[in-house]
Amino acid sequence: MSTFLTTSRMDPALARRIEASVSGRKRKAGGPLLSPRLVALVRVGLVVGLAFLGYSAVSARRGAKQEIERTRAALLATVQAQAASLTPEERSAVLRADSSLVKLAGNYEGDLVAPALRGTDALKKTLARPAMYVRGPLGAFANPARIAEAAATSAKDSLLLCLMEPPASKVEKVLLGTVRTAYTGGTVLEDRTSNVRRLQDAIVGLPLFAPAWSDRVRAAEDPAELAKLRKELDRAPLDRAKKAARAEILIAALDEPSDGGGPTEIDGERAHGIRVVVIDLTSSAVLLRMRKLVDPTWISLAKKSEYASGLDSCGLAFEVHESVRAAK
Amino acid sequence: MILQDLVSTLSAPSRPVVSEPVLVPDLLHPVPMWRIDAEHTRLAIALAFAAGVSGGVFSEALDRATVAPSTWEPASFANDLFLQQFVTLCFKVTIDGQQPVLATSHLVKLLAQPPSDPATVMHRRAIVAELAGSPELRQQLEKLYTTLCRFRTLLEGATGTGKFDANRRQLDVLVLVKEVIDTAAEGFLTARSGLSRLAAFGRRVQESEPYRSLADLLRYDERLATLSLKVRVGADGRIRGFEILSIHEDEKNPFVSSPLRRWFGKLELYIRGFKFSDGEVMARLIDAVFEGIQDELVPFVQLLGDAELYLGALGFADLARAAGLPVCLPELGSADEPRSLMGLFNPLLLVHGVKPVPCDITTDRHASTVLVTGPNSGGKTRLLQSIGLAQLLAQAGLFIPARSASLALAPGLVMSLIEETRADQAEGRLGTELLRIRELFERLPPGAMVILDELCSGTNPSEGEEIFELVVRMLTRLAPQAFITTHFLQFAARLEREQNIDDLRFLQVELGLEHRPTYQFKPGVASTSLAAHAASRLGVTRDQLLSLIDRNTLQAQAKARGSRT
Repeated sequence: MSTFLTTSRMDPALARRIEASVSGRKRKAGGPLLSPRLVALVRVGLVVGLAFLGYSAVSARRGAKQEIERTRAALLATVQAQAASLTPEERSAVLRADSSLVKLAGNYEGDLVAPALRGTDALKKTLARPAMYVRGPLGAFANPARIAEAAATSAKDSLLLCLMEPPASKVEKVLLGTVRTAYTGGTVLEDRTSNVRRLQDAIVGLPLFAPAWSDRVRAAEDPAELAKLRKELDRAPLDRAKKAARAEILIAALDEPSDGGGPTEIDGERAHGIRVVVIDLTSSAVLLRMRKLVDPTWISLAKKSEYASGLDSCGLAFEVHESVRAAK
Repeated sequence: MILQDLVSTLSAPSRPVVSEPVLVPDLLHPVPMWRIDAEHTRLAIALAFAAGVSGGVFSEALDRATVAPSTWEPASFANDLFLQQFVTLCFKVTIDGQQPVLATSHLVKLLAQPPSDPATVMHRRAIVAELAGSPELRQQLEKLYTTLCRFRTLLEGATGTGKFDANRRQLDVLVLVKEVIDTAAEGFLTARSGLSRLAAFGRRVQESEPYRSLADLLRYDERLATLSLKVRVGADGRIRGFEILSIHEDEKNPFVSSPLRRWFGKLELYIRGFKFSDGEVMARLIDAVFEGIQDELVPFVQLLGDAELYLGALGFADLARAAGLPVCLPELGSADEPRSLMGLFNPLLLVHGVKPVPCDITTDRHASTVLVTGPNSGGKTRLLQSIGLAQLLAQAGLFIPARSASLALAPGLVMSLIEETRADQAEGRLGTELLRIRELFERLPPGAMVILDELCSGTNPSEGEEIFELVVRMLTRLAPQAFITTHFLQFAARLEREQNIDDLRFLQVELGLEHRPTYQFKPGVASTSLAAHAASRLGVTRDQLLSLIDRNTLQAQAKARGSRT
């Protein structure tokens, strides 16, 4: 049978006429100018070409889809591998820290030195435990969102370093060396405060271990979207975040607003109260709560413009240690 | 003769023998003949079917159609007989209140060249008689003709739906093709005359493969499948749902194939250079079916022309009867037998709103020269027209404008009514008259009909009468059926008295009260032309002319006084 248009029930004469009609043997008036054979050849080429294009498109689409799946799986595997070492409690470190900080930002409840800190070098030993540190204006601790903003600008500073390594006296010359180290920052400061992570590390890194972020990876269909997630993952301080998540204590300094009296130094330092707290994150117990006033007026004119804040902070750390020691 | 008698008399002997397949449903001749250019028409139909044309397939084919052998020359009588006007006004076909436009030039050609073979005349008379006697057959012929007209319209005019959907138009054309064939096959089974050829033609086509394929295709188009549905109607009268009870696919139809096969069919067509569409598949099927059936469509063109002749004749009969003027198929005899035309009327008067007064004309033999005399406006010229038309229609095998008649077929007709003076006329009135006489004898075969109005009226009576007598004497040598009017009353009276010209007969206008013409004719020669009557009727008496002169003189004097003041 030479054409699909005929059927076995047709009269042979009719079938022949249909075959003649479709084969172009009978040229009709007003028909195409090109010969049917040429048109057929062109169309066969067109069909083959279109089929090849279709196959290529399907293959490319399939390859792209497989690549997406591979990228997705790699992302999820990376995150899962990183998250595997964290306990659910550790993943909630930010939540616990925020909860404690919000409480501390309220009315000051008075100084407190927990019994655990009253032993010889007990404070120093406590501060040597895995810790998170954050410092910011008192008003920035009103809710988690503002805490995140404060944490983003909070770095390791002279207060932290001096708490970890308390100075021998509150003399400018004595304090200045530590303050300069803190100001220099870098690996020296990092090495000397290696057990402490910034709260910001946890805030930035821990969400990537949350199910919501994995869901975003699973929902992504676009390679560009997956690439964006990959970049987000690569930029995230996952190791630091994990360390922060494992912190046992939270060290925080809450700068109260100034009363408006006295001058403000060039670096912004001025007389104001600072609440220094140490919280046991495992039990949410406050180990240390202490409020001190700082006033840069005691700093020499030569150092005031450059180191007023650092010297005040370091002096504060000295006073905290002295107060804890006195609380025995 | 009563029409029913004619049917029984004429049908039996002319019934065609249909033992051989009827290829051409020719209704005009006992032996079917192609009168149109079949090959040219076939090509024209194929082109029209493929793309549609702006009209003319049928009219051109019919205009170029030949006619049966005829000894009549239309130039000798057509203009004087107002033949074109007669056909246009009298041959009207009215079907369901509609009047289709007839191929007038084809009809004029058929009438102006009547067949020389008496068998052909008898063949046509039998068909006319049967149609007149059988309303059913007439209805079937009208139906056939209407379908042919629709077929022509759809084939020639690719407008409306067809302009945008060629397949739909072509399928509609094929539907009409089938309808024509079916009507021919089934509508004329009882016919005894030449109409039975239609049934034979239709049956032959119906039994052929192309027709079966055509029917299958149309069924495929109309009923690929049949669904039985149950419709649920809500309380508000709206349809709420359908339920398919059964689906029946017309699997026996050879065009029905599976959906997958139809899809592959489309793909195959695309690869072969056609469009990828269901429409293209249908177009190939239509093409193949049309290819098979198209040879059978060519006779449709000729058939349409044939049908118009008979339906036109029936229309003429209807027109006359509506005016209380019966028509008839005349008895045909030899030239030696008596002529009678009873209730003869002029159909041209009828269609111009004047009710003609029928008259009876009888002569003792056809082969005679009849001198008609009578007053002016006495109906002589109208009589000549009536006689000419009656002879013409009788020769064509159709109804003549008379209640009953006995006529003899003539080998020709030469007719000369008073000619109007033309601007390019080379001769004066007498010269023109003499040229007419010369042409008459150049054309006139023996036994032909001659109709002359006021012969030799363009010169003085004494000289005119000499030429007149010469013409009449010479005419007798050709034994014509001649009718000549004249106002040479004394001359005609002398010829009647002397009786020295063979086969010369005389008819005069009958006068009634106050010498008014009755438009009847009786033997003899009129004693007066009643010119005074005509002059009085038209205001040309002495008193009437003097009155006009006085009025004009007074008006001129009044105008002159007015210009001086």
